[in-house]
Amino acid sequence: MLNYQLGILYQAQNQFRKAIAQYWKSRSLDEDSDLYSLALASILFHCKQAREAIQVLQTFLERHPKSLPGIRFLCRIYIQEGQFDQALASARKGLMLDPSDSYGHYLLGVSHKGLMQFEDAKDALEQAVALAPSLAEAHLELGLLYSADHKTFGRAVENLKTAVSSGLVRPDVRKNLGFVLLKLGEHEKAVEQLELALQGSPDYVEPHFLLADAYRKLGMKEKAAAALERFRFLRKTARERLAVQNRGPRLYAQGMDLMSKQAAPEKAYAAFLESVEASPHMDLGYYRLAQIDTRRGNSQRAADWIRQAIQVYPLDARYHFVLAGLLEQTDAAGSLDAVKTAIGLNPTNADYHNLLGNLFFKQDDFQGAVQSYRRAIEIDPDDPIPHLNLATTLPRIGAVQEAEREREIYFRLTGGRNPE
Amino acid sequence: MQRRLPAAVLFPLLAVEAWALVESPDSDSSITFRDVTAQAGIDFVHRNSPTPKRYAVATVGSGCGFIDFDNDGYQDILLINGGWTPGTDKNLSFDHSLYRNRRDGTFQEVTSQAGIESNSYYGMGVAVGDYDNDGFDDIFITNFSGPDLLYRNNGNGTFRNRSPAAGVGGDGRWSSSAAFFDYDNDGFLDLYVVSYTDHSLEKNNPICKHGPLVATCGPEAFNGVPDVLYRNRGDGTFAEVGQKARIAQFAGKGLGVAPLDYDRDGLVDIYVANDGVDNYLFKNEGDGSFSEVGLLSGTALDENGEPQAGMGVVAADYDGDGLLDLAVTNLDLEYLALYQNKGDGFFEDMSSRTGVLAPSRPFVGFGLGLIDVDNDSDPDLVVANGHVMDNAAQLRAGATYRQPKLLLENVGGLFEDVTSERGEVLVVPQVSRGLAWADYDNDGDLDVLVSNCGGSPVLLRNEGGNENAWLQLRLVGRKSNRNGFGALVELRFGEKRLVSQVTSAGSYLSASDYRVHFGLGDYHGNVEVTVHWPSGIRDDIRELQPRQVVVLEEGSTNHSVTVLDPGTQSTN
Repeated sequence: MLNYQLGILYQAQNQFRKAIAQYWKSRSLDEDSDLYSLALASILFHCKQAREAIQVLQTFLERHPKSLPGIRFLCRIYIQEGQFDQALASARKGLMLDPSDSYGHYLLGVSHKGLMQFEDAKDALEQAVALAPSLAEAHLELGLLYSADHKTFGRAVENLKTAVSSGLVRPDVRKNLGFVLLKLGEHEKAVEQLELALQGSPDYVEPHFLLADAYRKLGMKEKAAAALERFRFLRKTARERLAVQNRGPRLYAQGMDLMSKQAAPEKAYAAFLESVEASPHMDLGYYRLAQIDTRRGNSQRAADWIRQAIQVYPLDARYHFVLAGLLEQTDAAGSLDAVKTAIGLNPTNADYHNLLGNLFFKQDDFQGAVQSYRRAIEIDPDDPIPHLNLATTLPRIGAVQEAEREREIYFRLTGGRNPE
Repeated sequence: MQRRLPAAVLFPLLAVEAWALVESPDSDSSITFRDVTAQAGIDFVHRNSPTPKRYAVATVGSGCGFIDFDNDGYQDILLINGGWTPGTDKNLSFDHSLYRNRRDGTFQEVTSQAGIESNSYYGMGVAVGDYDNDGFDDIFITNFSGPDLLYRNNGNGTFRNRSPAAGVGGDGRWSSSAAFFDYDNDGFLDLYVVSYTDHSLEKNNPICKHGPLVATCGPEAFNGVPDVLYRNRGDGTFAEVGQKARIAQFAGKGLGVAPLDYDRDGLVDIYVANDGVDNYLFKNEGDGSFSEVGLLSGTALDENGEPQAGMGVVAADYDGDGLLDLAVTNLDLEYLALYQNKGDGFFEDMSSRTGVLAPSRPFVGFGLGLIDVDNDSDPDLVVANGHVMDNAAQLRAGATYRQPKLLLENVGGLFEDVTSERGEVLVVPQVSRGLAWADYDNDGDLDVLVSNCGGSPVLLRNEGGNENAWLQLRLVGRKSNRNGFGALVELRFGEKRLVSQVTSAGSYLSASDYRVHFGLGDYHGNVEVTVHWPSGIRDDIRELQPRQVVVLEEGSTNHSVTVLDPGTQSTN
């Protein structure tokens, strides 16, 4: 419980790396707790580690397949990630457990929508609002679906209005309401909603386009021209911003392409270099530079690059692991810190524990090393290396017979190959 | 095939009396499209040369066209082939195929004997028009990775490649759709060639990934390229006038083109469907230049103000108000955009208000026709669909590479999805790209030809469309260009007024029969026709009977009539 509370505390202070480490610890101490697993999945998802969040939830649901909060959350992540077929399966599973779960029907509807099964989506969402008449998100989705067909514009307006009255007063909801009203020929009401949409976010681009149309239909030519001009300006600005933002990723993609060809590491390096110059916040660019420098044998420069990647995005366990590996020979303490951080961020990777074991071994901390190798084996029993390392370390603490068993496992896994 | 005698022949009426007999067009038609490709003898197979690297060019497909190259009154077929990409077999044949209509429902492959050369580029689109006004239609073929080709019709069933001499080969940019039209009304057809992006197999060939999967690069991976406008000098050569005409400053990512006089000022304008960026509406200023008015007119973006992935485009009057509207195909999760011409320089996106949005949303649309397939006197929408990603199903759940076609029937300005009721062939999933229409069997209803990417085309014979009455007009320009391209034709019966503009262009990479086809529903009286020629000449023709092809010469109230019956022809 203490780790969990610490996690909350760190999260509240935006110290996500520490928070993640604490949530992992709380979860490892009680893997049956839905509170700990969901908290961990939640922070991972928040920190853009959707794949890891999904893994945490899947592991939890294997043990507790009837956890409705777990199923719902997993479904939500699938939806966010655009994995609608998995989302649909999760939503259905949840509804089997509780057919009267309005939010479950909502998730089912959104999953159907993602799969372009629009009629099924409408049915599910109607069911959701029938069960929970003030479920604003479901009304919004229904409003969007109904606004695609002239026969249901009226229903779209009703749903969107209910979404607003149920508390969903975001600019995009207002904009969509204005949009349908415009199609219904209710120009003044449309203007009202579109202006409300812009009140909170005057640089929201689309309402200006719709306003231009509405003003024109109301005979307000000057206002229409001004709205269109504003739309043009905002679009141009957004495009220019996007072009700048896209330059780095585009160069990165070029670098990856060159890297896959293997024959052009220099060109790939140059492309990655340009990519991080164009987008200094692109951690992956630094990561690739570190990768190439490592291959070239320039560990010092590789470590510098990976540190920059960590500076940009300190929550990727891989970066800390790579740093630990690079420092292993030259800076044992730094390496130990880095691998501990990696494990804090993701304790489910066997390689991290194996490296930690190696570092403990070098410090003559054989108990620590044994513990780490055992953890690595627990995670991935088929990896021969931790078995070999364990076999080498165990005699140091007097466990000769156990060492022999580990060596046998190593030979079995490698087909009798001698360690080099 | 029995020939029906028009009611007007059996019971001659005065024109005034005839108006009183007008009934509502029958919307409860029972037409069916049947796949007659094999029985028609069309054995062409398109080669797109797909590879694991998924070159962008390998997914855009190639077009198809109808052309009556031997002037026998029957539409022949031209199918454009793709080409080679790195990693595929260079020794395969990528030849286009020209099929001569035997007038008995079958076609004969005559490509090489007609002088169409072996295809050594990557073929894209086709445009048809009589650029030298000799009475024989010529062919323009656009290419990726090679010059565009102009084939002059020699008038004896053969063609000769005249591109270098005519000056329309281009500079190697990726040409997609093309359109013959007369923008300066000098009586000679000019040529608009749409350019897509700067993708090339040699220089600009990125690998795009969606997660771990290699996916075909979208337009965002490339830069746009300006389109090309060629002015016909009238001596068999063309001058490139993009700069002067003020279209060269617009580097779009164009795939489709439709010439149309949207503002009815007698000057043909140009609409270009661009992929992922604003569509262009080039208003013809009448002084040799164009102004781009897409955004101002409401045709550049979708109804939310977002650019869509414009593929094909067609212009026709869907709502019977006498103004040419626009329909543009786009990606799935976008929609087929139907822009209604309001007549004041503005268009309005009516897709959701007309029932077009919902049925089109799941599909990636390419070629399309806004044509009256059931002859009930309003144009319906026929759409060729197919995803751009061959691994679409892996990239997004619910997506499919092969997709059914779409037939949306126009019922009083609203569209109803009747795809599944109008022939099994329409729901067969394919990777469709080009679409062209013609009454190839001259039975009075419009048939459809669809080209498929990396597969065989389908010729869809319309069965039952001719139960309703119809009239076809073939214009012959004298002062205007010979094809009469750009002429506005008004047909009146009762209180109805149908308007059509003569063109072979529109759809996607394709060329269609430019005979003007009007469906007349169950009306059997005589009709009136007015032709507004590009030259400014106006011809009024009264007392035209339905169910016939009428050849109208510019400046003459005389006309010749061809009563159609497959296998025979008679002229009076």
